[in-house]
Amino acid sequence: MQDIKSRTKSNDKSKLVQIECDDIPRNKSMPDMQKFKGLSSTPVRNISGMSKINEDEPLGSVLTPNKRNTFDSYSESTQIIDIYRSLDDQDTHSATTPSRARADTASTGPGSPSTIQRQSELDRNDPAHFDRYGFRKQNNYITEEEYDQWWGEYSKYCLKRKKKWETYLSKCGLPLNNDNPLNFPSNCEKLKRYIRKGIPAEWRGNAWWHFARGEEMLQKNKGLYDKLVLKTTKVEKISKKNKNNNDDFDIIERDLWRTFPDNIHFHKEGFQKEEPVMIQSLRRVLVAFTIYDPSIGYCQSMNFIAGLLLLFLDEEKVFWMLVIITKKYLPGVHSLNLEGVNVDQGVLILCIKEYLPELWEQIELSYITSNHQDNLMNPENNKTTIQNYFHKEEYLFKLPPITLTTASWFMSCFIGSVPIETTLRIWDCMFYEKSHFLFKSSLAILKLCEDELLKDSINNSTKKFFLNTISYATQGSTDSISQVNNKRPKEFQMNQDDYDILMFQVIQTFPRKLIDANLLFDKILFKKKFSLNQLTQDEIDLRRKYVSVQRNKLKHFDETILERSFPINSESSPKLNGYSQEYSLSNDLVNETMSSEINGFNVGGLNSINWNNSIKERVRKMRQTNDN
Amino acid sequence: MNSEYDYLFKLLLIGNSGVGKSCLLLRFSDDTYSNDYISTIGVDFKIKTVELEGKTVKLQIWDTAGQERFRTITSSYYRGSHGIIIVYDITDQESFNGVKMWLQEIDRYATSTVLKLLVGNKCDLTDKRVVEFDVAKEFAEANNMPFLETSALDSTNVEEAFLTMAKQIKESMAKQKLTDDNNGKGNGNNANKNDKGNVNLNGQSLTNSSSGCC
Repeated sequence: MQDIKSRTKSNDKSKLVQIECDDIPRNKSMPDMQKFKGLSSTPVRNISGMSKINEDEPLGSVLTPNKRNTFDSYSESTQIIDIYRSLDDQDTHSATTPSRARADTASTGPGSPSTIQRQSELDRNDPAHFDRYGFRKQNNYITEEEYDQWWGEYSKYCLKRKKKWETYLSKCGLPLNNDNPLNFPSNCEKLKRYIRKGIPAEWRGNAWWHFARGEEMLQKNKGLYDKLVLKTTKVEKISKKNKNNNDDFDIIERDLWRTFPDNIHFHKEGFQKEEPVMIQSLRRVLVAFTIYDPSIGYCQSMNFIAGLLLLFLDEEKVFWMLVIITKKYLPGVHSLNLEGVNVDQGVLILCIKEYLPELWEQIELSYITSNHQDNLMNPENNKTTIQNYFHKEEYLFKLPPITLTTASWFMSCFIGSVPIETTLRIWDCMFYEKSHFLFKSSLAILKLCEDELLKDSINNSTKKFFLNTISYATQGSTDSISQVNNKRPKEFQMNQDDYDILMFQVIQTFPRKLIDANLLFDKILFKKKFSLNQLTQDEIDLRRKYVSVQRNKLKHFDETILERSFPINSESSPKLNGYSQEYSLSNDLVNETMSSEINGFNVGGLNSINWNNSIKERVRKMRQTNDN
Repeated sequence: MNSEYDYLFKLLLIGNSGVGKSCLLLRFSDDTYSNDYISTIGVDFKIKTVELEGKTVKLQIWDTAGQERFRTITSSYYRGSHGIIIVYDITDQESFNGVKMWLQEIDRYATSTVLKLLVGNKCDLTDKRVVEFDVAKEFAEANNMPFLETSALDSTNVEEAFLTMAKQIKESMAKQKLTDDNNGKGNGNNANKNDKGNVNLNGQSLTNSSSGCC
């Protein structure tokens, strides 16, 4: 017990350090101390492996208190072989008990797999294969060699930045507090610049907590997390009784093991009896959140956010950070109808239109081809549909397919969409610069994708054909449409399909290879001449309101059109009912918006270009006033 | 740009969370299996080209998130699919019960001509089976769709499942083409005049010819 007390007292400056020391997250809120019992037997092989890694790596200085275990880890490895052997005939196939043994059994049949294979398993788990956060260096998109090559350079950069941070803090008279600073300089351009260049990994937890104003939240709600955790045990029992496999708790349970299976802190080896501590903490945080905010409950992707936070902050703080992120940074994004994420995708589309016009052209072309080709091809068909597309900004309601990919960027704040270091760099800025930074990052990533995409653009004549068709359609000349139709290249459809596939593949895959965060940050995001710098939080906030209003209007428009065109169609009625339920929640937002800022604009006839200019003008004026 | 395939089919994988949709797709597209699989957020997208009766068929497969709330995002893409594979886990009764709900989703959002396939995954877990083969088979027949049990772990029937789906679509298209030709509907402008729900495919359209599937 004494041991535990001293651990709890230990600061939580960084999970990196803390885990290194004792493998126990700060857990004062755990009502049931019994649960600690198993921990003493929790193998430290993986954890101690961290110190091995860090011996050769610059930031290792932070993580060295447990060097004694480095040796232990090797003596322990020999045991693993035996344990793997004994696992041979066990059936370990289950969503909740991942084990490598299973794959082996499958590939070699019931017979005992050879020692060579076991050895390869051991090699696979060699600490050298993991990064400083415990993630496997290699994945489907990056090889270990690529990782090591990048890290060789990047680690020097990290050291250099850390020294600068230390000097900066000293100059501001802020204590480094034994490499665990709790206070950071007050907001200014210099601080922003420093953050943009990356917060030292071992300070991240404290810095995020500070910039997201976590302490305020915690102080306002002292003791609440403890109470929620107490409740969770009861709720879990009830849930188990009811056995409703599709409820939040059940999905959490499945997702615990599917959060970071490639991270040593979240992974359970066959020989481990106890669940990893991180898995237990993750469960408590997610279940507590489900009880705390039933309007969100549990939404897949929150497991990633909470999981990553747990590597940097203690459990209770992680819980409050999750509350702050879902409320402040990503409002409505995880809600039951996911309308927030749809709104944000609409906002992103508007931003693409403005900041990445070439990419927008491609997206638009693909969109019109898949949604309105029939109309383009049939002169007698209503040209209004196409006009609606333009005037009513239909793409804000029926979002273009690429938003299927970008939606996950927002929901999990880029975890899994870009490599971990790049994710963390984005998080550094997000907590300081607010949610517009997620849009900025998305645009910067898309900008890099765009270069990749435009290389392989569809042939120009086809493109020209469609752009002409569109311009005729908007001018309302049906004759012209049919004339253009006759000239339609036969192979068009196939080309567009190919292009769509390419676009999807690039946007899904390319970012996952973006290991060099500095490439993204220096060359794109903060390039002085690049207009992306002008995108502000105000603009994003206003666009969020605007898109929300437009989506609501389009929803009603869609319903009216559908009813008028297909009054007897039985299929359409359940669909409409579904829609009204789904979107009713955003009505409040619309009313609020109508009576506030957007009132100044003529929303009805507004297209986004005019609207953007108006916003910009306003912001410019606001700035001028501020400057004066 | 010349396309190197004869057909392009768009497929969608749906089913409750955790039934193994992503693993099935990974087995089919890369012929690998991993326990280190993470939950899918939104959609994942993969391409696989197969040979089918002497034709090259490119399959564009969308793997969707299983949690209920994600349906609001994914359902809008049902319409563009030629085939939808509904997956359940043979060791999870609830996931099989969920199939009915997924069928309703298809009726609501997909085109009427979309082809369906029922897949019971994790069939290597014989000890933990709770959904009997015959029960599922009967259910699939009653709903007019083929049925297969698969294992993404040991590859049982995985390729067969996707090929069954592709074959169905190809046959349906051939049948449709025949109908169109017989009716003298060579002109693409007229082909889709009365059908708002068709899917364009290589410039051809699948129109409402079969009434059996819904």
